[in-house]
Amino acid sequence: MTDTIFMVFAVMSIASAIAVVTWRNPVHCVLALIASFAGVAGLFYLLSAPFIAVMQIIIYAGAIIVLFLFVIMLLNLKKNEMGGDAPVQDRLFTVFLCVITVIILSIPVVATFTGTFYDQYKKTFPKPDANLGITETIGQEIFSAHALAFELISILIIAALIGAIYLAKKRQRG
Amino acid sequence: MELKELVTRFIWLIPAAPLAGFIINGLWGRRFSKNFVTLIGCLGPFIALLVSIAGFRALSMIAPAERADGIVYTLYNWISAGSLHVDIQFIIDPLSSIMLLVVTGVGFLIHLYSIGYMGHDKGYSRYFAFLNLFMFAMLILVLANNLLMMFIGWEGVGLCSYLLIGFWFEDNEKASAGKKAFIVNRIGDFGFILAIFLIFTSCGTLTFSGISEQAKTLAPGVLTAIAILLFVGATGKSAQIPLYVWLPDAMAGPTPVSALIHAATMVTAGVYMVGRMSAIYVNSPEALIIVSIIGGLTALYAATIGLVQNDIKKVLAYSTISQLGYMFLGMGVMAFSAGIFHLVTHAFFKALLFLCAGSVIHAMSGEQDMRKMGGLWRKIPVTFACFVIGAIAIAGVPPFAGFFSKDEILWKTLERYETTHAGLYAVLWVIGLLSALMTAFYMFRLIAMTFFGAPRANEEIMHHVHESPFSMTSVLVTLAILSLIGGFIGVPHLLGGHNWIEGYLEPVWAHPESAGAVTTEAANHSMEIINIIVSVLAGLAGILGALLIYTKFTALPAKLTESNSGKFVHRIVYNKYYIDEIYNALVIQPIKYLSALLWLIFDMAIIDGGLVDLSATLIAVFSQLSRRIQNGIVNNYAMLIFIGAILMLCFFVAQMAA
Amino acid sequence: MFNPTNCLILSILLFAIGAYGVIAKRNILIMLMSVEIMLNAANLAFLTFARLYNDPTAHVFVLMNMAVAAAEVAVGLALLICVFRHKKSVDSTKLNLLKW
Repeated sequence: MTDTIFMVFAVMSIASAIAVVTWRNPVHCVLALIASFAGVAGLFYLLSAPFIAVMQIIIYAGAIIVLFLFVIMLLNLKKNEMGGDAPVQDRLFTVFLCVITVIILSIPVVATFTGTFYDQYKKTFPKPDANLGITETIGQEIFSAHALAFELISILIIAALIGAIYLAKKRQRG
Repeated sequence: MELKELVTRFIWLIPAAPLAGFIINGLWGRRFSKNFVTLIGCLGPFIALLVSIAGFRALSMIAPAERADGIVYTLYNWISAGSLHVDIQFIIDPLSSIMLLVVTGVGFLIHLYSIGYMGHDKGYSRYFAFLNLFMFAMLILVLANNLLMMFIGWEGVGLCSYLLIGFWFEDNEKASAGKKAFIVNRIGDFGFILAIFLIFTSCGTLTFSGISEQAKTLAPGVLTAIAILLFVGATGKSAQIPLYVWLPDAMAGPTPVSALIHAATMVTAGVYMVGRMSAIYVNSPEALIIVSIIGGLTALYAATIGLVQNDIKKVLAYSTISQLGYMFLGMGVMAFSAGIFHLVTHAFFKALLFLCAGSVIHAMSGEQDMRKMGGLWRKIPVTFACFVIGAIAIAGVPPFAGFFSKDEILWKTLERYETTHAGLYAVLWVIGLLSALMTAFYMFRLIAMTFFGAPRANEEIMHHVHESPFSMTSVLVTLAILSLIGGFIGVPHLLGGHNWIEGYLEPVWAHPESAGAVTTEAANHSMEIINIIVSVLAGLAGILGALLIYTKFTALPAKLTESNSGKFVHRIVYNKYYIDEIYNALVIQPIKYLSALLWLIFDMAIIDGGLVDLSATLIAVFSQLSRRIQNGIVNNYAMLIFIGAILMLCFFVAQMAA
Repeated sequence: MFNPTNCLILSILLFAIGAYGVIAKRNILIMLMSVEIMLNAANLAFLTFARLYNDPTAHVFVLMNMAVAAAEVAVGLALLICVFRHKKSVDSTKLNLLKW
């Protein structure tokens, strides 16, 4: 049962990601991106991270996607302003590079998780920790061990906020 | 001892003060007011003069026996490479102290004179900057305690000479006169630097004291080679045969420059250098003979040309060459003190003559041709009086300065008659006497043509003729006084003096026998008296002859040059024996053709075509290939980053597998 | 049944697709979206390992990651608007001043 749900979410996120990078119309791309994010959020839930899954929906599918849509509407792009794709030979070369990446990165993954380590793991840690991924655990983790990082992130976001406003603001003439 | 320590601590000020003046005036002179430029320009030489006087005073307080070591101050270690150690080291010994006084004293006076002379020139600040730079270089040359440092000053004065001859560089002829001086000097400098190399390889040191110690131990051949190469350098700087050709052209510069650089100081650097290297020359009789022959020939040769020149400054230029020849004649007969003595007196009266000539030119609104002058003595009496004093001094009439020094050289030449090569020295003595006669003749020819007779200039110029401002005439008077009394530092024993300069300089020279103490023998007295009488007579004869011919019998010169043989001789001499043309045909043209050939073959074909263009083409080809990477599109850069990341991943995975 | 191999391979695939988008697309908007996909892939890998080792630190990392992503998108889109004002285009090939 879990495997089936996993497969559904996996196919959903991969397929819509491919749609994002192949379609031309930004609005369509954004819609596909929502689907991809939703699929990934489902995967997060399956990986016993319900809080993160919800955050994924709120931040990505909520805030970021809305931001994208707003900008698309604001720019009101015409066809000749959109850019499109690289030449075919470049795209083929990029695909080639991506395939190589996938292969190279898969080698250690497959080597590790199909060998004896995985068998041992299956025996010793078959069940996830009940507390993993619930809000309380994460909250305690953030506000104890990672308090400094948390504060720094808030500074970063403020800086980004101010920067974004400054950049997007219309310049005063003169 | 107080003063000595003080002087030691502040020797560096002597060259540094003019250098500071050069830097300040050179960098910001255009923005300063004229008065401030003047102040800065004259302050440097003045400080140098004060320190030099203090140095001279400190030196005379040292016991005579220890004076040769001098006051030495090491500023810092300049080069230390293997066995080569060169310090920036200043020395004030009797020789350099005398030279310092001459350079800073005459130099300072000429700075003062320039205030009036160059007052209306638009390059006023540039002029003072260059003049200060010259003072700096000349003082480095004089103060140097090793050959390499001397060479810096040597090159420095050459550079300043070039800059100041071509001071009015808008005039093409003047600019090329500067180039000529520079290039001819380069030939001499080449000899000088070869001599430095040879000295270093054979002596292993470049300090003067070290060279003096080593000189006796060297092989005679090496010594003679060094001496002759050094002398080649001296012929370039001091305008001797065969490298004298630049000096007459150097008169293109402003007249104070001619007075300072091309009469009083820079051109005597060669004499000074030979004096410094006396240890080498004393041990090489062959080189001494060459020096004396070249000196004597130059003295005579330049004097003959001086007889027929019509340009007031050209006459003085050839006179300078002739007098420099005299100095080398003195050096060549090992009368080093007499040579330096003549250097000092010559600096006084030749600077005076040049400055007077400058005053005349100033009065005549820039006219230099004596045929267009005449009758000026009533209009510019101070200049006239000073000029006459200078002329009498150079003619060698007692008790003016030139008499003592010139007589000393002639006497020392004659004295050598009793040694080997008797005939040679007798001839040289006669040559010296003839030159003295001619010197007196052309100087008074100049005076007669310039100051006496009816005015030959047009009304308008004559109307403008005026005496120079006080800043100029005061300098003239000062120098005239110096020309009058300068000779008394070296009155010979015979005339009741005790030849102070000879005794003062004696510790510096390599051989005691070169100093003049031996001349007091009674047997030589009659000879010496004859010598004095003959040389004074020669001077007086020249003066009277010139005055008579050019004031009473004015038709005589024209008649002489009109006659067939006279015309031929006159044309040759007037055109300076066609030496410039001969050099042009024998040296300059072949070099030009060779250069053109080398240019075509080596520069154009091999270096430009084969090396420069090829490397450029190769780079262009590779650039064409690599510029495709750098196309400015972000995606391509992202791809390159991605490729790099993949390569790194490959590396890590490979390491994991291993 | 939890299988880390599948999750990691999925993460790698998502990453590769994102990288393709960044390199091959010439529309800056879509390039930014592709960057988001790559970040998601990274998050997925993080959570997989969190599950594997029962370690909540990775969860914190993912949250930080999201915050950074949000900031990045905000600034990126602001820049995009800026660029669009000047060039009237979101084509990345029009922005080739980097070669000078």
